[in-house]
Amino acid sequence: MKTRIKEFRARHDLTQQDLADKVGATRMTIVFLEKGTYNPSLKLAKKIAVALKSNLDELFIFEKNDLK
Amino acid sequence: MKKDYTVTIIAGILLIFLGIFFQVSDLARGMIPLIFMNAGTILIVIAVISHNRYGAGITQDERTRALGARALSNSWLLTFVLVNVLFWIDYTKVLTLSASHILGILLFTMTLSAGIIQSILKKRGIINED
Repeated sequence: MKTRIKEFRARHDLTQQDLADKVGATRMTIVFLEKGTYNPSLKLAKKIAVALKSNLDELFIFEKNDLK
Repeated sequence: MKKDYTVTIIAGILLIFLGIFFQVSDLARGMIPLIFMNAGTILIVIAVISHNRYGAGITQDERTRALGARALSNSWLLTFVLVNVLFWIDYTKVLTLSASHILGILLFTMTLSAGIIQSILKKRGIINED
């Protein structure tokens, strides 16, 4: 899974810590999310999408192999 | 300082004073006062370290909770295997193990393995891969 969290975060001029505070997560969780090594819960994914004024499809990109 | 840390430090100080009180008043003898004082000290140290590391920020979220749960379940599995090994060692009389030996080994294994597995998972970051 790839994410565009970093890109959207930069657009909103937010640091990883700012985003973490907004969504009630630790900074390391945001780090792993941006690296694509952590699959968040639907609730956290939605919180991030709301915080970045985006939607899930824009933020989280699934390739064919990810859904197998 | 966050309220949680303040409460932990107060609890630690109370435990230390309770330990000193037991020691001075002779209400409890032997190891009991020491256990109270050690527990109090550990609480204070944990609160201070957590305060320095996280400050007023968030200390836990879904990832860290899932990580802790995964580490504990792996540690439980490891301990289960170890219990089986210890049983057969004792049953076949390869070694003579007392109850305190076994309890000590289990206590050590569970604590250490949970900590090690948790730190490995923290570094990897992946905890919910297929």
